[in-house]
Amino acid sequence: MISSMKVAVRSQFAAVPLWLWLIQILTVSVFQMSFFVLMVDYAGRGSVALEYVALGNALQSVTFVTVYAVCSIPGTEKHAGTLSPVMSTPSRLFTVFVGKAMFQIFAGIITVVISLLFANQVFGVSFGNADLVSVAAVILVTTFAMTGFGLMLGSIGLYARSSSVLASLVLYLGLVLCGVNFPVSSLPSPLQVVSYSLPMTYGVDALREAVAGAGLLSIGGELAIAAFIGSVMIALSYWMFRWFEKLARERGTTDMF
Amino acid sequence: MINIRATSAAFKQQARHFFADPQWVIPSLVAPFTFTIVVLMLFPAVDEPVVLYAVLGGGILGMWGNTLYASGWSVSFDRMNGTLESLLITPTPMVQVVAGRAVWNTLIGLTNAAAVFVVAELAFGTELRLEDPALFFLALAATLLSLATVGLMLSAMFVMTRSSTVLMQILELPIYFISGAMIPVDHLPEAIRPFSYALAPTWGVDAMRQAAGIQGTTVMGLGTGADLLIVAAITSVYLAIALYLFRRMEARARADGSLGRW
Amino acid sequence: MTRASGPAIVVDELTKVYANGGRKRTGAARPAVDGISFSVEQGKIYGLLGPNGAGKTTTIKMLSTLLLPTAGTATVLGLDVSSDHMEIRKHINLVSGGERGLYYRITGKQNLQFFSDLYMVPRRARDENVARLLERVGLSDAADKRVEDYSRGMKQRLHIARALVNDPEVLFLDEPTIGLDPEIARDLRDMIRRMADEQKTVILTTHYMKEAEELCGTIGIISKGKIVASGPPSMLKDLVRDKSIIEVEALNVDEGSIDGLRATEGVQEVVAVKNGDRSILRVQVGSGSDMIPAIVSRLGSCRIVRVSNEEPTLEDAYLSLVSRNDKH
Repeated sequence: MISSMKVAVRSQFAAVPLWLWLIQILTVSVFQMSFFVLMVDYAGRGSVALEYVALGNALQSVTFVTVYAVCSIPGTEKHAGTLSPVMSTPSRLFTVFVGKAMFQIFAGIITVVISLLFANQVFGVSFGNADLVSVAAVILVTTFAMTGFGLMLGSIGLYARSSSVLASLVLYLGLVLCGVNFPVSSLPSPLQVVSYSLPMTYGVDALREAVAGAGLLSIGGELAIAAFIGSVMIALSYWMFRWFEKLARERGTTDMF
Repeated sequence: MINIRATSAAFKQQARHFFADPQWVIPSLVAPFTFTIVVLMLFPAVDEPVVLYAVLGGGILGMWGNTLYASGWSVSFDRMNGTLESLLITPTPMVQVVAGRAVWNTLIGLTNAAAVFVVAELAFGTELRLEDPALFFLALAATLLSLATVGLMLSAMFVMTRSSTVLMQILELPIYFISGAMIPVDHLPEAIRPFSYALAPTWGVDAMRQAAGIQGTTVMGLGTGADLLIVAAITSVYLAIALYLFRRMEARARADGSLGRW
Repeated sequence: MTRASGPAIVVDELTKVYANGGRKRTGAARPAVDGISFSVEQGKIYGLLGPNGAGKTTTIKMLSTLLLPTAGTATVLGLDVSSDHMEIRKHINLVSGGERGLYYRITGKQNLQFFSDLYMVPRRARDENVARLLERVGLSDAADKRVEDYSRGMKQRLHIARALVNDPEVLFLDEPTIGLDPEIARDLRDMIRRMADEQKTVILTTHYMKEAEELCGTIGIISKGKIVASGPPSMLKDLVRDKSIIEVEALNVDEGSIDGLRATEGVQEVVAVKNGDRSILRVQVGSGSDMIPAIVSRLGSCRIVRVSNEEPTLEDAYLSLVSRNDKH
């Protein structure tokens, strides 16, 4: 698993230089946040709404790294033709992908931290009352849970033509469903059910409370739910990796792209 | 040598490729679609001008999204597919072939507009009525062509670098922000505004808004005629850049054979 | 056309040096093509024969205007490849070996129609032309099937059809039969022969000896960017006519034995092909000389399975010329 992580780091920066990769991650997060903050401002909804949106987007920025990038790993491997060789090694496919995903977790945490700094410096979101331990806990748990989500979606990429279509859907639908820019309660009830099955929804809510000063005990419930959902997704993804691996071998689709 | 048949053949071919795998348009359209839906949810009431603004803007951003990804990939696709040589060896300049594809790619981005209009109407009860349909569609066509030309520029640029996927992702969101398609230009930070004015879609969308009869501030207070002239002017500049880039790309390919390999 | 009679292709001291930026090779850049000269009459088939990396593809690319020469000149149909490339492209075409070069998600017919438009084939004639081409390459039944569903042989045939879409006067074929089943390769060669019958000029690169011998009126043997010999197959074989080949099949032949053999008086050339622990040595000696005893004794430590006396083939000429060039 560690060697997969090292490979992921090295290959990531072989194709794309570090500075460019950083710019990519940051541009997407920062521009997205700026877009919605300005939009809220234009709609004349005041600074409370501004903070609401800024924080939501800051945490949601982790999706780009943990879900999209992790989800795309099987697709990228297929495209590079390395999937079949990987599948023929003894280490289970799952552990190889988890190794690669671990690197994305680090990247995800960095992305959120920078986004929060941006929110603070540029949009004046105040952390004066924040419980920093809680904030850190939210970032860690949400990143972990969303990585699990990415792994689960990524396992579909083993079998389907490509997982990146799904990944891009997930990346952006979170904006609508997870209470990132407006409360989940504004959505029609059927959609709310979906919202409450996504870890980001709990993370975003917990973050706002943590920034307002809530301690670990207060947000513990939400974090526990997010962590639980994340764990279930990781377990599911392990099972799905095994099942899809078997199917792909049966149907000969590893090299389909 | 201008070969209009080549351009229309490429347009048709791109359409066929699209219908063979239509799902590939989804990644280009998800962002504009969701952004528009969120914007619609952010407004306190279904306040007509602003909502229509958002719906129209969302449509334009859909065109941008697909232009960026589909046209950006255009030449690289040929390189990967092994058809680049087959194209280069014809007497038709490559740029004319890619132009046809770029027009289709931008056009199909309008499906985003259609999707957004449908959702807006069903879920939010909005109605977009066009005050001056002829002018509206003229402005739409002008905006479409200017975006297609941007796609043309990008396709030449992206084939010359390995980091094209990353660059595409970097370019996507900033344009939403800067183009004034959804957030009025005079609401953007002052430092950003010069960039907005340099983008053809900013003026195209302004003309469309006025033609649709949506109330609100116009860019620099100019009317649709002026807007369209500016679109034409900026598009000509884009076209000149695109032609230059393609010439450079082909010259480089001939000099060191570097486009033959992936 | 701005030329009357005269050779279809004239190459004079053509050279190509790739700048490091293209290949990222360290050390001094060796020319990929180094001052080659030849000419090809209209309606003839000219073959460029050589090992991988010899410069065949680079030469074809320069002549087909895809690559700019670094030095020297080349004209195709009287037009300069560097400056008149757009005009030349109307009258030539190129087939590269392998499966790439077609659009897989559309049909064979649509592929041909697309390229016809790029070549400005008159609208009215276009569809008729496409139908005729598909018939010619035996793909009429598959015309409306997507290319991704074609077999390898079918794809290669479609390539040929694509290359004929503009009825070119000069056709460049870069290893066209590589990787094909023998039957399909044979069909392809028949097609190539027919093109010459239609007065098309064909330049073919290959590393298959038999193919070159069968198809080409003139062969240029290219090695390390230089043409080491050029002429009809019979003339090239004449280069080794005064030689005999003694073929030895033996087990456990080591490099030392081969070097020793080379150093033996009367031995001109040894070409060894190893297959596991079995080796086949083709030993070139002067004809009429009885070298077998000397050879057998030199290979004393190896187990000799078979010894035979052979007539030199084009392959021997080729190997001899190429390995001689390698020593320089």
